[in-house]
Order: sequence, then C-alpha cells, then structure tokens
Amino acid sequence: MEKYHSLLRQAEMIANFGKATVWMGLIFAILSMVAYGLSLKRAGDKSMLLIARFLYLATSLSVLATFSILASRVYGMDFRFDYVFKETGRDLIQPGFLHHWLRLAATWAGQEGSFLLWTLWACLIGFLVFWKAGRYEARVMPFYISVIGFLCAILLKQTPFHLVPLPTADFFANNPLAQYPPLDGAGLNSSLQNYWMTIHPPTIFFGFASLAVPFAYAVAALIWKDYDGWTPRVMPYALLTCATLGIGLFMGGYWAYETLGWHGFWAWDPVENASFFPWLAITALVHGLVVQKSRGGMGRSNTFLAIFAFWLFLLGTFLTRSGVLADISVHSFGSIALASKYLMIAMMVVYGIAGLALWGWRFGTIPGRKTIGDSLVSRDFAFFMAVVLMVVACLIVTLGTTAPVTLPWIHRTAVAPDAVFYNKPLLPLSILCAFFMGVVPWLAWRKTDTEKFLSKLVVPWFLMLGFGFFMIFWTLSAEREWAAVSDMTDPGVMGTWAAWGKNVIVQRMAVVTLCSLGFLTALSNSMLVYKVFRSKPLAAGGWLAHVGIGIMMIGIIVSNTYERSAIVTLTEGGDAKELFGYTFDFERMTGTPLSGRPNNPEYDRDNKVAVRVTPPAAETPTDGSAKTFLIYPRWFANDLRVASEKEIKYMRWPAIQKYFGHDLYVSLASDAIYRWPTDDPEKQRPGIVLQKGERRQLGEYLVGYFEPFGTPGKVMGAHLVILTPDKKIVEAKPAMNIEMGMTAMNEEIPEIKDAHGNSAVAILDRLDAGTKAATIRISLPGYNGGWAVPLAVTYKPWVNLVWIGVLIAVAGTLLAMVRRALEARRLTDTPTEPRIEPNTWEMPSAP
Amino acid sequence: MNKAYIIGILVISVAMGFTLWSFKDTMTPYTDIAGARKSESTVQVRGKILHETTRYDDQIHALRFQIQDDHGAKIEIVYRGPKPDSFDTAPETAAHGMIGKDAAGQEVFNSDALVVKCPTKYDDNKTPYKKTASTKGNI
Repeated sequence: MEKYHSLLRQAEMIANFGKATVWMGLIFAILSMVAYGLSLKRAGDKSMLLIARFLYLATSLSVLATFSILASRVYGMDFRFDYVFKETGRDLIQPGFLHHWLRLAATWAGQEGSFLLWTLWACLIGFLVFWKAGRYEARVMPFYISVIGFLCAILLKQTPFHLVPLPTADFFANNPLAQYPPLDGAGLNSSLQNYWMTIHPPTIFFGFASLAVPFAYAVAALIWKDYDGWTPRVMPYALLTCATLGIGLFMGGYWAYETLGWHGFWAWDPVENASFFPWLAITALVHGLVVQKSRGGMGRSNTFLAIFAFWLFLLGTFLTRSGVLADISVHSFGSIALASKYLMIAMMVVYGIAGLALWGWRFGTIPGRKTIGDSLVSRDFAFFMAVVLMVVACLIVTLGTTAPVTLPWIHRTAVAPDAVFYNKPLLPLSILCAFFMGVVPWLAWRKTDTEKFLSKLVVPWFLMLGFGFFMIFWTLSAEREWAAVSDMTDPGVMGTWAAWGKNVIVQRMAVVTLCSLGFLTALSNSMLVYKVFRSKPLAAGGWLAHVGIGIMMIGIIVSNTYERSAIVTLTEGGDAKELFGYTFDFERMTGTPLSGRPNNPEYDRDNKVAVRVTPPAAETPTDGSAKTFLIYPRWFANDLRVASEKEIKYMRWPAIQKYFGHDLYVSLASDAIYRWPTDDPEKQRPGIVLQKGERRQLGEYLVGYFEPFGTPGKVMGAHLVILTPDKKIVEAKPAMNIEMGMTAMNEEIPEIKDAHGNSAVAILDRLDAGTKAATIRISLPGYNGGWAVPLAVTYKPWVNLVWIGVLIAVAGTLLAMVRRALEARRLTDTPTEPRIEPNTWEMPSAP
Repeated sequence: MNKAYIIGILVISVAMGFTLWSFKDTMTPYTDIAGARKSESTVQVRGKILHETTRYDDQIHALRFQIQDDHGAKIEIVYRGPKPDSFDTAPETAAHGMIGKDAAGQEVFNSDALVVKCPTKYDDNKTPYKKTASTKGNI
C-alpha cells in the first residue's frame, strides 16, 4: 500500500505540473494581449512590442509543455492518469513503426487531447502571424491570442490531468489480483486504430486553428477602418485553411470509405458537416478576397465572411463536442464538463455577437463598389456568384446540421435530416457552380466583349456536348445494370430511388448535366492552366484547383448514383457466387484459433477471410492462364482474451480492389458465422439435441449420451461416451458452470485430434430441466461445421475521379497560397491603395 | 440597385426557400411501434435491442432482431445492409424504415438505416476498479 501511495504522490506531482503549465499558458496569453494593447498606445516604442512577443513565446512554450507532458504519459502508458487509462491500452504495443505513431496519436483520441492539439497548432501558427504581420502585428495579435486564451481556459476546466483514484486497502484485500497503477487501459477505440488516426486529426485541427487568422485580421480591419490593406496579408492564410481543411475532409472521407464498410465516403454526419461548412465559408472568402485585391470592393462581404467562417467553426465545435448531438452522430464525443460547455458558448457569443456588432457598426463606412454588376458577362460577376453560391450552400449545410438543436424550439422532435435534405438543393447549386467555373476562364475582369467570349468558349463548349452525348449512353447502360441487380423490395434501394422522386428522367438529366458541366470546368480551366503556366507558373494555382473540383464533381455524382451493391453468402465447401461479372469463392480463414477457446469461431484479433476472386473475361489474360486473386475482408474481435462471448466487440474492415475505372468494394455484411453441426433445419440455432440414453452416428463416430451429472445450482453437465473409428472408447463431460454465469466447462476432448492437431470439441449449451435433453455443439474430425460468410459487394464506378480531383484541387490551392505568400512578402509597411490589375484580355490574371 | 445584387438575392432566396419548403419532407419523425403500425410513410422507431433474437437471414441477406419500445411493444426489424460495428454491444437503436411483411407473411419493420449508440464508445464511466468481485479484464 505504501508503494502505491508513493506512486500516487509522484503522479500527483506530474499532474499538478501539467495543470500549472495550462495556467501559465492562460496567464501569459492575457499578459501578451495587454502588452500588445499597450504597444499600440506607444507606437514609436519598440520595447513594449518586444515584451509582448516574449510573452507570446512564453504562452507557446507553456502549451508545448502541456502537450509534451500529456503525450509522454500517453506514449508511456502511465495508467495512473485517467485520460491515459480511457484512451489507450497495451494492445497498441506491437512491433512496427506505425504502432509507435499510434501510441502517440492516442494523445488526441479524446476530448481534452484534441482541444490541446488545436491549442498547440494555434500557438505555432501564431508565430507565422506575428512574423509576417508587419505593421498589423499589434492590431491582429491580441484578437488571435484571445482564442488561445479561451482554449487554455477550456483546458483548465476540461483537464486531461485527472488521476485514477487509488482504491482503498480493503479493495485490494478483496481483490488480490488488483494492482495500482492498473495493468492495462480501456484501449484505444478500435475504429481509431488506423494509420489515418496519426495524420487526419492533426491536419484538420491545423485547418481549424488557422481559421482564427482571417478572423483576427478582419476584426482589426474593422476597428482601424483599414478595409483594403488586410487583404494581401490574409490571403495566404485563407488559402492555407482552404487547403488543409480540404485535405483533412478528404482524409476523413477516405478513412470512412476504407474502414466503415458501408461503401460511401460522405454521410452528412454532424462531425463531417462541422468541418465542411467552415470550409465553404472560407472558400467563399478566398473568392471575395481575389475580387477585392484585384478590383476593389467586396470589403463588406469579406470582413463578414472572415468573422462568419470562424464563428461557424466554433458552432461546429460546440455541436460536436458538447454532446447535444450525441444521439445523432456516429462519432459524437461524449458530453463534457458543464463549465467548459459554458466556455464554448461564451466563445460563440463573444466572437459572434461582438464581431457582428462591430461589423454592423462599421458597415456604413466600408466603401462599396457599384461596378460589380456593370456587366454580367465579366469575371467580377462570376466571382461574385461563386461567393453567393458557396454562402447559400454553407447556409443549407448549417441549417441541416443544427436542425436537431433548433427543431425543439419550434416544438418539433429533434431529428437529423436525411441525406436527401442536403442533396436536393445542393444538386442545382452544384450545377450553377460548375457552369460559372466552366466559363470563368474565358471572362475578363470588368467587361468582356461578348463576341470574343463566345468565340473562345466555342471549342470547349462543343467538346462538352460531345462528352454529354457519351454520358447519355453511359448512363443508359449503367441504369440497366443497376436495375438488373437491385431488389426493389429492399427499403435501402427504395430510399435511394425515392430521393430522385422515382423519376428516371430527372435523375438522368441531372447526372448528365452535372457531369458535362464538370467536364467543361475541368477542360476550360486546364486550357487556361496550360497557357498561364508557361508564363507565370504560380498564377495557375486557382485554375488548377478548379480543374480538380470539376473532376471531383463527375466522380461524386457518378459513383454515388450508379454504384451497385448486392449481398451473397459464401460457404466453406459451397459453390462460388457471381456478382457484376466477378466470381467469388471462399478460400480459407487466416486467423489462428486461440488456445483457451478450442475451435472457437472467433479466432484471433485480426481475422481475415481469404476470398478468391475471378475477374470477368475482359480482365483475364488472353493467353488462357487463369488470373484469379485473393482479397481479404476482415473483422477484428476486440477484448477476445478477456470478454465473454456476448461482450466481444467486432469491427469490420472491407477489402477494396482498385481498378482504373471502378472499385470493387467487398465487406462482411455481418459477422462471419461458424456453422456448428445442427439439428435445426433452418440452421439458425447451432447444436444437436440428444435425449438421455440416445446414441447417434455422427460422421465416423458413434456418440452416446449416457446421463446428466452435476450439483444443483453449481454445475451441470452431460456424460458422453464416444466410440472412435478405430474402436477406442472416449468419455467426454461437457458441462456448464452455473455459478459463473453459465460458462462452458470441459469443452475440449484431447483424446481425439484432427489432422491439424486441433482437439475435438463438445460444448454443452442447454440441459432441459425436465427431459434432461442436452443441446451440444460438437465438432469431431470429419464431422464439423463450416464457415458461412455474408459478403456485401459493391461495384463503384469512377470513384477514383473523386480522389484524383481532390488531390489536384488541394495542389492548386497550395500553389495559389505560395503565390499569395510571395506577394505578401513584397508588401511595404506603408498603407497603399488597392492595386487595380490592368484589364488584359490575352492574359487574364489568375486568382 | 445593381443587377448583380438582384441576381444574388434572387439565388439566395430561391435556394433557401426551396430548402425550407422541402425541409418537412426530408425529416423522418420518431414514433413508437404502435405509431409505426399506423403510419403509411417512413418513420424512425427507437427501442431496446433484444440481442438473443438476433440472427442473420441467409435467404434475404438481412439482419433480423427484435426491439422493444418504452411501452413494452415488440417488433422484428429486418435490416438489409452491413451490420453496424457497435451493434453487438449497443443497448438500443433507432431504426429508420417502414412496417411491412416478410416472405412468411409475418409483420416486420423493414429498415434501411440503423442508428446505433454504443455505450462503451466514449463511456465516461470507464473505470479501472469495478465494485464487483470479478476484476477480470480490468486488473
């Protein structure tokens, strides 16, 4: 006990030190804000500025210390800490580089850790901000640092440094096996045990953290009435947010696609939406900033959007973290401490109300530009429409995501809207977006000569029409194939169908139109990229991003509308099944049976089902050699060593066979079932039923049920006598321990072994109290069950276009960011008039 | 008022109007089992999963199990789709679908989506020392 107390004292010291670093972070942040404020008063005095910077450095170092302490506890599996106990476990200690990363990644597996990750990124980005802010430093930094201050305050209330309480001496006396610290943690959630866990959260939190920069700049711009000077400085950050949030969303989608087994990558889940609506707002801002920088104007909408995007992110954080949507989301975090919930509400109120009030107060003084609607055939108007369309999309997604919270206000039940709610209005918006993206490369700023515009558009337009005709024929054939495999009594199929208003013409037209316009977008923009790239390579970024978006639009609509799914059950020793031209055959199980669970179907932690696939003739080599391959859909069984059969948690992981034109997506539709020999004609209940005194020939063995035995209330069993083919007599006494919650006993029959050396098994499942009939799961060499594997197979056409499109779009955005960052470096610290770019037609300047 | 703003406002109001108008259609109301029997459209039924009734139906490739709502009414859910990962340990579910009949003429609830809340996923009550005699799994 004394040893335990000293261990606890040591942990308390570490925890207190950790909490102290958070306090220091908060105090230094406040002091730094004050110092920056004072430095504004004394403009000539550089010393106050230096003090403020030094204090900011101290804030960052404190946060870094907090993070390092927590990370070292998590990596070191110090289960004296409650957070460590809850979020990680010893099953992560496995050879390989990835598992070291995973052990570290468990640091951000929970609420507290992910807040800490966000704070850490915010501190790091802050260095970039004050280093590059020039004369804006003292104006921007206080607002930026206030966000870090709020985060530190949340971390004080929602501390990751709680300790596991030390049980009393009595407890240890009653539980001789108990130890302090606990030997193992609750374990990292199995769906997080994945390499994406090491990279997706840091990326998306980087994006979130960088959202505060445009916000701080916009607030500073409003306060000091400097409505144009902030744009060139903030553009690199807006593009950085746009790219990191974009790639983060993509990673999340791909992670879901790869592991969740429902063959989709986007589910309109609140957690996804919470990153998506800030992305839409910040992307709208990027377009607005391009207009403001190149042509002037849009100062009102840009300052608003910068504040709005940050506020939306706070809203998203609140919705997903506070537990208000816990019943609706698949990844909802649990609820958090009330105090930190109030702090999050305070953040939303302070930044939202104060930001909006400031904006409203300054609205009249922001110069507008009346020229934006001079000509509807102009790049100005196309960019304006981009902002409008993205704001609308953003509002729709926000409305849908908040519906479960807002509906009770109008006395309706809290329900999350279906995917149809989002898809219906977003489809026409996407079509409009694609149209503007498709024509904008041929538009010039201010005013475009309509004739010139049309003459430039004519080639891509006709190519688009050609592609449209191809799409009509393609969709017709895809529809036929879809109808051939779809079971119209399946409610899932009916649901998809109803989403289109059961109208095949609407569906076909929408798909063909969006694909064609997506094609036009990709084509027009790549033509311009090619042209621009030769003279000003950096200026091609924005257009390149549009190429990616166009490709992605085609991929999304085609892969979702014409994916085809079906389920087949493969049985061990059964026939091969054919789906979508591919033939599937059960090959084997790869898991190793655990010694404590003889012949138990659960096998080990990493169960794979090897399925032999024969592709259709078109994909087979013509030289006649059979070209088949194996795929491995699998399921993890967690806690196998310790949990009872009922408590085992499964996680399925699909196998994806990638082709250029489609994915073959194969997952286990349900757990693979081990079929024990059974009397049940429907094979739903395992086990054979033997009456007392009955003898039955099971394969080559004669099995007799001699008599029941046991102690009432403690143990009951069935005494079996087995005659082997070589005329040996073996006794088996499978039993049930009633005291230990009906757990099976004596299931192994070591005298009888199969060719692989596995013992025969008899498990008593039920002993009828009246008739003494015994239900026994029995497996003997040559007389045993087999596996039945329900496979869900999905043929997903063109899905690669989604991933390719996203990667191109992100690359383009990053290129644009580099360009804007280089431009910002050339800025002088003296206020300048916005540079109006010359209205060149031959070389339209890129955003 | 210039043309661009008029078009912008027009687009925003048409899109938002359409969204709000279609809002009601795309919401699936929650109801109990008795309500689901009366309803002619898709509903969501929430109830306790009776795990001992769970089986996989090979014929129609569906997961079948019974749920019990707060009033004690029971109904069999026929769910065609990949089994949610946390299904085995989930105490309750909200099934999205409609009352219908299966091949044998039994009344069932045909579901295309299950919302499963897993109690252990982000369990705040995870504790290393349980108050029971068995410390299995937590020592």
